[in-house]
Amino acid sequence: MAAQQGGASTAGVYAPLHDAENRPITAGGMVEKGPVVFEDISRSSGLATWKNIGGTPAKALIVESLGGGAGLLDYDNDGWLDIYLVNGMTYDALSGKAPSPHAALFHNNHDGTFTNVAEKAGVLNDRWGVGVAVGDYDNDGWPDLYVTNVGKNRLYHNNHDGTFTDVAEKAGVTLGTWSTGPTFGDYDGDGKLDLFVPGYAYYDFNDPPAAGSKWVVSNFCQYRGVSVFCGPRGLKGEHDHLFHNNGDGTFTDVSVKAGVADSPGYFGLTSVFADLNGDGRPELLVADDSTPNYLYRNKGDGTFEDLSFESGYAVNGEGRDTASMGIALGDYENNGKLDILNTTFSDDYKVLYRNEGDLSFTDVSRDVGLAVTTIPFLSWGDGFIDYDNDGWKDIFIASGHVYPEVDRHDWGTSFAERPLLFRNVSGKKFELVPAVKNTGLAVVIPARGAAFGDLFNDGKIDIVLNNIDAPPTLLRNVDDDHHHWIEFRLLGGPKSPRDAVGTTVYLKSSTQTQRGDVLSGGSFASSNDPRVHFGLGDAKTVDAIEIHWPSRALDKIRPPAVDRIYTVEEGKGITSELCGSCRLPMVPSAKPGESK
Amino acid sequence: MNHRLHKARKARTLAALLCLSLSAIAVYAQASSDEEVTPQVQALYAQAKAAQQRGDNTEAIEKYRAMLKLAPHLAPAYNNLGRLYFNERDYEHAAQVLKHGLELNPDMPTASALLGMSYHELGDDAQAEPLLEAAVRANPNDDNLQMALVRNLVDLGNYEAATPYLRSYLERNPKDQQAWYLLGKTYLQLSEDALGKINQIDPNSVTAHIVAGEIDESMHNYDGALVEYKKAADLAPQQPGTHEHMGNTFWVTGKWESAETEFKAELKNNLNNCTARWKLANATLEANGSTEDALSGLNQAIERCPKLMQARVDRARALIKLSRQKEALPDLLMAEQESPKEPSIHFLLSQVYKADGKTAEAHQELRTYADLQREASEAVAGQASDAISIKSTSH
Repeated sequence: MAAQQGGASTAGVYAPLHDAENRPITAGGMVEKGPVVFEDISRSSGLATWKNIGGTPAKALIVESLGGGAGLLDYDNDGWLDIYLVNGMTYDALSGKAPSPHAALFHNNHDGTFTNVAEKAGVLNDRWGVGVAVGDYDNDGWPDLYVTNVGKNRLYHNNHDGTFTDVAEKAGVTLGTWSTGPTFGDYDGDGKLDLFVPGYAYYDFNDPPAAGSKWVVSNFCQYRGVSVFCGPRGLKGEHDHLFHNNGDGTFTDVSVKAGVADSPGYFGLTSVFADLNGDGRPELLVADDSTPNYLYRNKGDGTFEDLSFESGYAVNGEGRDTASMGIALGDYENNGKLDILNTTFSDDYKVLYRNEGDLSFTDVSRDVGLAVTTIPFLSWGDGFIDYDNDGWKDIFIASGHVYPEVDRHDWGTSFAERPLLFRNVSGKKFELVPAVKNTGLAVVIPARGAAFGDLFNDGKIDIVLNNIDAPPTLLRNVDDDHHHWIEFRLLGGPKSPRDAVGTTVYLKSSTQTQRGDVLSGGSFASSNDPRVHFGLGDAKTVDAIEIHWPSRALDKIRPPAVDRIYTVEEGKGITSELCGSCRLPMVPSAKPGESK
Repeated sequence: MNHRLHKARKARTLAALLCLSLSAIAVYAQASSDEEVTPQVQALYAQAKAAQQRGDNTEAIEKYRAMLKLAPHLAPAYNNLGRLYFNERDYEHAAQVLKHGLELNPDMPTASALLGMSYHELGDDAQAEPLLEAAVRANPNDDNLQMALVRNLVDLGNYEAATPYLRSYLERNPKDQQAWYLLGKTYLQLSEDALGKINQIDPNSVTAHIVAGEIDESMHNYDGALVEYKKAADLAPQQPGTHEHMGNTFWVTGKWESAETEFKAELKNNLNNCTARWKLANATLEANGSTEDALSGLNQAIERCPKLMQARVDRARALIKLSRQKEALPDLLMAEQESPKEPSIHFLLSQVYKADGKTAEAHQELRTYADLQREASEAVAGQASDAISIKSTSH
């Protein structure tokens, strides 16, 4: 009814909330004492030697505001996760007056430190980067990288020797528009990873969308009455693209035929393939900025049905479009169904969509206690992680505003914001874990991409945050729990993608049943640890593991012990295990014959 | 004598033919022209007519001009030649010959109308007006003439005189969009004139500031509107309407708290203002204020103005927010009847049905909502794309 303010959908305006020191709650609210969950090891790990740059700090144009994603992958197959961080660009570099900012590939030194090997590895990108997805598209057993840009995208093929080659042109996946958060997934069940790439907005560096530009339809260049960069509303949206993997190193754009081309041109930011209805075929989710989100049902015949509105995912529970930035997927209720958490703009709550089955979702954000706390934050990367290994998936949200102007007004939000961690209380409620001073939850950063994984093979999920115009943040999980855990590195057989993307694992312990999925993409323009992690609480054994492979094969295994990372190959069972606490290297599987 | 009579008869016949060929109005040549209707004149007339019939107006004009050199007093021939010039859009020559013809014989309504129309085309609306008025008086149901007069009066700025003609025309031609547009423009101008008078009387009056504010608001100049409305409210803080105007501008621009303040002030001046009460509650809901307060305001608004559907939709919103979904149903059903294509109503209905366990109904409403939203999204996207394509090709 009322005129839309600014370029992003929000829930209106909320009164600013301050902490005792009169800081906006997004940059304050820290407490003196409490549990220390994360330690900020950005400097000691070596990550802080690198910095992301997105245009100018003034953020006069929308292209400068998105920042980049983070990808976790074991590019050299040494059993330890490495980190890929996407970089932006400077105008001097664009015009050839200065060298381009480079992306980073941090090799894991297995000792808590990392070394940037991006140049040697040939993955510098040197374009205005946005997102990254990890996937072994050629099934050679080595993870490849797809990096999206404002401009041509890159497909970095892993050469198995610590280097990559950009084969995007040959593969036919460059696009050349403004691409965002991609995802790999085998949508047609042929055992080869296909690729989906959302499009954001049309962007011409020679005639950028400033107020009065021909590319700005109407004046969406204000936020709360203050001039800010224009968009995304009022800009021309880009379409989305689905690339079918031909199996010969090339891809074919099948977006229109498959029914996922996004004909209205919504402002896509992040996408994920995931099986949401348990039929063994991945659905497709696209988080759209200030326009309805997409949920496409996989019909099983190479096409999708748009069930965005019917499923309840297009808008939030109030029927409003949200400025959706990130997508987290996880079974927070331990009922075998994947739920969805979308991050959104400030002055809006972050939306938890509970999976009711049959592709029907309900916004339960208020019911579970997520809504009120998240309102002042402008959030991006998010993940369902069991940070305390109690067997219930918790929620982590990374935040940071897009308008530097917010720091000059009392609007209750800030450009740099602290992360949020919510503890899952038996699948019923989420409780905010306090931000204890001088810990990882008290860092105030302009975060964008967030990737989640067990970087130190200790069974605890760590977090890498790619911050805009700043060094990244590495939050090491140091939670003082003594819970047990188990992880699975999955290798698909001949009829599944080799990296097992699309595989669902069900774990049954004496106390509960959990679900984990191998996914590529999600969070904000990022890609998480491809291994499946389960917290076990006090359980010292696992009764059964069911692995539903993309080929539709089902393996049942019974791991001999907990607190280990098992490698499981489709049809062959456990082929090796890693026990960090045992201080032993990779050892061969104890009893391969136990698999079915 | 016989010869003269014969010639006179021939002249009358030719004059009649000339006129009939134009408008079937019988016009008789002056006696002085009788002498001029020679066989050569008759032959030229026949040639002119033939040229006209085959669409060769240039030749027809030449033949008439030659004819008038031989018969300079044959008034109807001027009429015919004037029409030809008019059709050729040569209004200057048309006016010249028609004027000459009417000087010879003023009793030629068609010529008079054509002359008026020619003057209008030449921009001489003052000269055109009496001629067109006379022509319309003679032929009150002639649509072309009436619209010509209307356009002439509008161009003269005489909107008041144009209005009854437009109304009468629209009674006969109710589907003529151009005429409706002209009527709208006429009313707009009349209203502008009337509002201008307010300013002339006292530019610093409450009414003058409200009018100025409304004009600013209509042009989306909200800052300008606020300045004017503030002046009005300062001059008459207790006059109903002054705070409502300010509140409305804040409301339209999403400044909820300020809107609430103004609507509250308005309600102090006029307890029965349903719109202000509804918008106050709406602003409270938008500002994420107390849902209970909003609900109480909406109840009052609906009690006084049961047909205020926006208030009913907002009441349903508030009830759903308070988990009282079942109570929201009657309001939503009423609103749906009035605006079946409003997506948000269907979304709210789906929530109500879902809460009541009516899954099929909830799905149906969600489907309707989805269809309407998709339609709307595609329309917005299409419009944006069109706008960008026009802007990018403009210089």
